[in-house]
Amino acid sequence: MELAARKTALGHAGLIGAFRSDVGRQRFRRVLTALASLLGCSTAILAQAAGEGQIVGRVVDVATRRGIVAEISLSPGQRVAESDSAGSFRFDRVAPGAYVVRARSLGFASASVAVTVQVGGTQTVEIALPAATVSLAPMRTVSRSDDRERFEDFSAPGVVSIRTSELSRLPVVGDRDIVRAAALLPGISARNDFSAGFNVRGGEADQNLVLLDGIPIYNPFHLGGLFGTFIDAAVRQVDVLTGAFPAQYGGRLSSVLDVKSAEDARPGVHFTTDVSFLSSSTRASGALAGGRFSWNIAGRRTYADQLVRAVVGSNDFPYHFQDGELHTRALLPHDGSLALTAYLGRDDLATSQGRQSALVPGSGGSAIDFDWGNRAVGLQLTQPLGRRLTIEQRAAVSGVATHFAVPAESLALSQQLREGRLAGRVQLAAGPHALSTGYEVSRYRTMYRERLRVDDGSVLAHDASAADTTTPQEMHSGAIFVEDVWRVTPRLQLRSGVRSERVPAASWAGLSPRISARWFLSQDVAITMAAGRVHQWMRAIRNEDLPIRVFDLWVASDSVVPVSSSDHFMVGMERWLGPSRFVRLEAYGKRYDQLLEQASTIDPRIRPSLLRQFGGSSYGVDLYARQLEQHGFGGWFSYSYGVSRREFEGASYFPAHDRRHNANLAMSWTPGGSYTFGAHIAVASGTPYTGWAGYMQRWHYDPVTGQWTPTASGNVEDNVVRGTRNGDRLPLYSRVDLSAERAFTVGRATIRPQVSVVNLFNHQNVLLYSLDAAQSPPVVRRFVQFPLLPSLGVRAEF
Amino acid sequence: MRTTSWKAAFALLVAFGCEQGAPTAPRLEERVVVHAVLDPQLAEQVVLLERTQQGASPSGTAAKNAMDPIVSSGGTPISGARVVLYGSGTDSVVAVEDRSRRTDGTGGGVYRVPSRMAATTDSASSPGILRLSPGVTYRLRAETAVGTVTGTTRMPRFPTQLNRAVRVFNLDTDSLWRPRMKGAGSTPAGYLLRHLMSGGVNRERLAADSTAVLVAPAPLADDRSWSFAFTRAYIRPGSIQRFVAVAVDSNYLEYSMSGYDPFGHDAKGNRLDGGVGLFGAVATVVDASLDLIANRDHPIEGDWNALVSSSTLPLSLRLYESARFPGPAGATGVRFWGSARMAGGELYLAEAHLSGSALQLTLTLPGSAKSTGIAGTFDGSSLTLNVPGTGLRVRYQLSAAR
Repeated sequence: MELAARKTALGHAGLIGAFRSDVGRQRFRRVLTALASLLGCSTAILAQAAGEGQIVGRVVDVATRRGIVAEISLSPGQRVAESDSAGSFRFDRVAPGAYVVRARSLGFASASVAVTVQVGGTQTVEIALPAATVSLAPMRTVSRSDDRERFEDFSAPGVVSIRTSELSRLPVVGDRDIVRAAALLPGISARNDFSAGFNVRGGEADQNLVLLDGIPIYNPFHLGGLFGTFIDAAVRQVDVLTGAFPAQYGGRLSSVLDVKSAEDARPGVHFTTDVSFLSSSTRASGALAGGRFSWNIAGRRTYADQLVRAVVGSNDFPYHFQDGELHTRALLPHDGSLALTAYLGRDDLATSQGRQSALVPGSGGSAIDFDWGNRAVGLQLTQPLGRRLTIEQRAAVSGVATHFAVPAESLALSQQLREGRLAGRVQLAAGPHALSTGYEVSRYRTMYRERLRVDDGSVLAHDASAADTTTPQEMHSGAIFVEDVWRVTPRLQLRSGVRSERVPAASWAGLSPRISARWFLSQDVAITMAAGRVHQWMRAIRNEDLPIRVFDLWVASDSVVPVSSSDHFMVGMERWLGPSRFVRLEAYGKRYDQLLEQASTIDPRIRPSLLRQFGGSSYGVDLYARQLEQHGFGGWFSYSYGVSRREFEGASYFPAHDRRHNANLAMSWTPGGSYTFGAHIAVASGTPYTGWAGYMQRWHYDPVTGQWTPTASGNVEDNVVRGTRNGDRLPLYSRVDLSAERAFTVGRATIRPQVSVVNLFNHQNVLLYSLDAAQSPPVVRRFVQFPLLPSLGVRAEF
Repeated sequence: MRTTSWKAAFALLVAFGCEQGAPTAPRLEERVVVHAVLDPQLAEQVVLLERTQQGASPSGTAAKNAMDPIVSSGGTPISGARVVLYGSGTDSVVAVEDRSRRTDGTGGGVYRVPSRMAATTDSASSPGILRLSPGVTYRLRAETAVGTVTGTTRMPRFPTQLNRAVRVFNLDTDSLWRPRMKGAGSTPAGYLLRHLMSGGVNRERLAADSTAVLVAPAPLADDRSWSFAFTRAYIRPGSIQRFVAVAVDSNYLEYSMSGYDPFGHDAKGNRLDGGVGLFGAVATVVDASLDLIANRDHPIEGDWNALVSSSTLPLSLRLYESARFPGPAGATGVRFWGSARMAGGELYLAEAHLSGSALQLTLTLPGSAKSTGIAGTFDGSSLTLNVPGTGLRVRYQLSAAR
């Protein structure tokens, strides 16, 4: 355009020189106009030919003189243009006259200049804008919730997703605990207040696959199951898959607890610190390189031992636990990512010689070394290859170690377990199909050591002729899977897959088919059906009748220990009552085969050949009414009805975790901007326990003399006869917990003190009954769960 | 209104919060207790039936009347039950309660079945007599007023002949082995190992794992390689000791080995259906009385006879030394073990310590902690003991036997 204008100007000057008369000028203009019209020349030529002018200009930052993309308005006329990245703009065909040119840009104060356009003239302007903070009007963005996304995309049947931000508003017992909070969800029940372990739809507690960013965590508990291992602030979300899970998951019979680490996209360094009467935890997080690298590191330690030592001056509470967690994610070119997660946790209980600790009543004043903990580290690479193909590769090492020793008694028990896992997956979106296929290879090493004093005076003397027992296991498992999520019609989605698994040490190979379908009756109502088979070859060896879970000893399947299996069936309906509210009802049935337990509930010694092998079944209904957080209010109501039975040698009994009715109401409310109230109400039927039948004399037959003699036992407990296994039930369980939190700002920090009251009505929920056989007549004593328990805590974020 | 609400809330809090954990009486459920172990060494098999006790816990008092063991030990017998023992095939024998055969009303809850040992199940059957054969599974069914109890057991494999004669056994060279057996029941759940010394001193161990070698020669006596190693400190050359190995079935083993389980069910190690207790089987596989000697590596080893009888000195004295029985020798001198028979016939355990030519002999009556010390000399061929408190000396002569 500039070149055309220049040529026009030159031609104009030449012609003026050639034709100096007015007549000549007029004739020339008419000819030129005609030619321009005929040849379609630019509007500038036409404008100038018509007598209009133009405005050209530039918008710059007043401080840096760099061009700014801005909106330019011209008034009168209300014409609007936009400057380019160099700040340049222009208005053509501007009628002669006075104008105001106004520029505005986000982040700058607007400015205007007055210009007068001459006939055929070009006005040049420059508008310099000063930087300014702009207050935007309130904005509201609406996106699909995780639950709605799961509902529409059918990620998996029977999934419950809870964000930790929501869980953390509920009343707590000392510390925020996502594992404990997960037990409030439908289909999940905790055995008692003292156990953060949980049973899912009638399954045993070791049948839950606990994953931290895809890394298996074997003993996700502290202090005998009282607390979970995960640091609340370091976790973003928890997904619980309660059955018939997708083919990518294997190795556990009942559920998958998928814990996802928190990621921080904010630049700089940010801290979240929790302080409670029990422990303190701190999380530092942030993002680098414009958000391309996020990091998150957290640590926690209990300090009851230090407090007791400081106050009492002795080591009467020689126990503490500590955790450390690290998660980083780096974004790679083409939307790929590389994530690293590491976890380290340890419980430590050590009493010194000559001091009887209340924590270990049976120690007799002997020194005790007792520690256990998890270690895990994993790397995950995710890389899209084009728009439809994504590959994912994981490598992880996870392990748990337990060590218990009473040196004076020459007693030591220890176990080490380590799993190295390599897994990968390829996902392909192909029209209505979403295909995925992958593999999983694990190598396990377990080492169980047992050292017992063997002499005639030891109660263990008759058990072994060798003083040491070492049971090493080294084995591996392999699995490949393929799965397809097929949107058959807009109303029907079908998820089908199969998992082929192999455990060579047990000479076992098996198929685990999974199939599920979702039929949308309407946009907000769907029916789901699912079925599948799952297998488990690593199990914690213990007897579920023991109400407290101290720690687990894991045993792998081999030529003696079989692979356990379970079949799942599920049918359910889900209805959305709005964008943030839904109700789900699911019925399920499960069948278990080749489960294993120790004959004794308290004997930690493992003898694989003496394990009891049993089967069983469970069925029930779960109701889940969910209010996603809206207007400061959120929560859920869950009700589960379940029946579990186990069969051993032709006899049937209810397992100790068979809780028939379990209802939980959990909610949080933030009425204003600063206060948040939380409540949890639980009502549940009692779990089974074994009663008493009386006493018996344990007559002894002496094969050498051929005589029967009543055995004189020094321990009257030896003569107690218990009743039918789990033939009685504990009374109704109920608990009301409340919490209140206030947020206020101090400088750059947000401080949230929280007060919680657990078991507000101090309901005496029975933990267990015990027969005091030393009394005559004997009496039954009961031990209760959490009493009324207030606690204070504070969270600081900055 | 607000005051009323607070009062109501407070009353609710008190109502829920004051519940106390006071002890209560247990709700007990009466059950049948069975005590029965099949033993082919016996001519009669005994089944004891009693009820669980509801009151004070029994203290294991010894039966005051062997003819009425349950009642006299404080138990409540179950009388009038139908007790049947089933053997292989269609064999079955109904047990008879002692009380029904007596006129004094004793023997309640004691049921007996005549039995005989049979090498194989093909042996001729005798009506009313239970054949006990190795490897055979037996069933018990007891129908009582309290309930019906059933159980099964498998008889371990056993030799039909046991050599109980006293045999000379050289601890430095000889081995005692369990007999090798084949077929069902040849690998029992465990063994009861009992070591008996004179004077009724017994030691025993019930072991789930047991090596085939019961007693190994001293040069090979690694404690992991022989079953009776737990008695090594008491195996002394120069005395007669009895070694018994009894194969036991899994019921007997579990019932005997199970520890107290506060959260378990039934009774410790119970495998019965419908009741608690034990229905097991045992079979003695070795019952060896061994006259223990050792190699004569030292001139003092052997049997010595007194040339003159004394009331305070042994009439005969046997002394042996073995490298590992009963244990390492002292730092100085040589230790010997054996036995001494007094003029009155009493048999003492003897332990001697020889340092140079000085001999110190200690005699202990089996089962007693009291011992007597006797000084003497040994010059390489002649043994002399001093009569305590008299200054008299008695010479001994080495017997040519052995």
